[in-house]
Amino acid sequence: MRCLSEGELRAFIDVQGDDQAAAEAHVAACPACRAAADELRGNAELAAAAVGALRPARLPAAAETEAARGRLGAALLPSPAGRQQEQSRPPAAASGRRARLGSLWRPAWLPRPRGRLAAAALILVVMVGLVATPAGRGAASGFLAQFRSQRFAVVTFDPNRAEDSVAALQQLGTVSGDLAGLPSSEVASPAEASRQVGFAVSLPDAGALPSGVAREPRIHVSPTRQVRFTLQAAKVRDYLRAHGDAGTAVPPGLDGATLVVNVPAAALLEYRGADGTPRLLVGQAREVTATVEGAASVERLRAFLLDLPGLPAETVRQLRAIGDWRNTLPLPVPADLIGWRDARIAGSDGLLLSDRRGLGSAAIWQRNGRIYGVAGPLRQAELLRVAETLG
Amino acid sequence: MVWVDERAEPATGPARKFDDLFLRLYPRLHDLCRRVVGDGFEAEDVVQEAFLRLAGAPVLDRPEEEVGAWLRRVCLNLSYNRLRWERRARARLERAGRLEAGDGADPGDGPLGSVLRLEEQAAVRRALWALPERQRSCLLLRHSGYSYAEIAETCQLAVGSVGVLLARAERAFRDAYQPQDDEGAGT
Repeated sequence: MRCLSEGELRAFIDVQGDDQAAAEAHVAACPACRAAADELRGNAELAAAAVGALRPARLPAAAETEAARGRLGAALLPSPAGRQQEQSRPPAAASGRRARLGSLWRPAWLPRPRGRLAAAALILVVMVGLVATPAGRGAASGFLAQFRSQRFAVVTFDPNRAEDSVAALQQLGTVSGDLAGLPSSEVASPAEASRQVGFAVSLPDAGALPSGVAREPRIHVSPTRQVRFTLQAAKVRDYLRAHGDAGTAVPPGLDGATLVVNVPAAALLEYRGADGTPRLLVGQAREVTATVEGAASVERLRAFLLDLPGLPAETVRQLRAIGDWRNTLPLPVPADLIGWRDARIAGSDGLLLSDRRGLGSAAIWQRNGRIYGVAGPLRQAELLRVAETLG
Repeated sequence: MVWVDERAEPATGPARKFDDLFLRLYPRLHDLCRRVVGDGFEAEDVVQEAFLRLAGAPVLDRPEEEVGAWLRRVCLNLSYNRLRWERRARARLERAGRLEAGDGADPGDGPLGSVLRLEEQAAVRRALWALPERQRSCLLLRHSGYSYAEIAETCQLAVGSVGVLLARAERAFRDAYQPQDDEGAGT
């Protein structure tokens, strides 16, 4: 038999070779292969001992495995089963189920081709959650106060860590509601859009539109959505422990406190260029509002969340720096991709954002209880011309 | 709020298969991830995330060996990503070592033994992290008790190639691990 290759020798040591008997006979007779096998065996023993040191004291027991399955959520069914059950349900329930499965689980913390966008959308909700907890009135009703987005502040985040932050939120409690991007449907006319979103949708003046875009927009509307986050003391304790902090107690009253974020209905006007690609987007929505249900002091809830270990330090610093946090909507912005500055837009305070690679610009501002945004592969001056004619 | 009503549905067909797979495969997957991330809670998170992906994946219809290999691959990748995302991976790895104190250290070690064991774990993880990803997976799987066939399917290579990859991985591990040992002995 010829000498064994390194791979064959290694398999021989593990008794996983194709022909163990022949290999054994050869190694016994061949000093070179024997020496090589000895070196490999030494390396293997070192690795076995080292990786053995990582071994947990024991495998999860059956009861722990069952509990883990429970925590994964019974809502999660494999898609074939989901489809079968949908077919046997009334259409309304079926579509509701699909929406829940799709939007609750997948975009929330699973990377997908569009995962970064979904994560960014969710980060928005997370950030609102962190700041939208004012204390105050109406304790008897369970409503502690309301947050209103009257102005904006940029909060930077590292897009590479976005999914990490989302997972962190899931570690602190339960999140429910529609966490996906923006489910939207197309409508035929501005009047229909106004009817669906519940306010008069404003169209920019035709004369302000950039040259080369279609005069008639395609119009999409997305419905009101609500996202609820309920803090769970048991999960927070696990989270703290996992971050090396077993000493901090969860303040009384925070367990079960539920943050309710109302994402308003929105209308999106899409103006296309001659080649059919979107050139100008105009979005309008009512304000984002948030309330807290439960017995907790909301200021304490906010302080507690911002104090948690494991949150990105720079993001937390920026959130703390927002003075009027009851009325400020933090806009999560990936700092490496997007630049921004405060600006007066259409007579209101707003933000101008631009893609650092020069791909496009966006403006966002608020006036009279509406959030407006315009965006496109355009110069800022072109966007501002459009902005001046809205509202 | 919308999860509650879903819980009442009895698992049937593919859902039942999913549950069975979870109950059978979870313990060893958890063990594997735990070796990488160093923390039981995080390991659970990783395995659950892998199963969430499985729920929507065509591979669920494949034979169990293939599903198992797929899950191991996803679990390892997710575990690596978690460590990679940390800006200071090294600090994280050391913390992962300390975190073992709660439920990873052998209570029979005594306090001094626990500390030594945790330091050793951190050193092992640092050395593993120095390996190319495929070598790292191969070495981890082999010394977590997986066969060459299982490793081949997980790492998506021919069974005949496992030996050479493993030999390279173990040599690279030795080179990365032993200098740390020497440093430790000198201080």
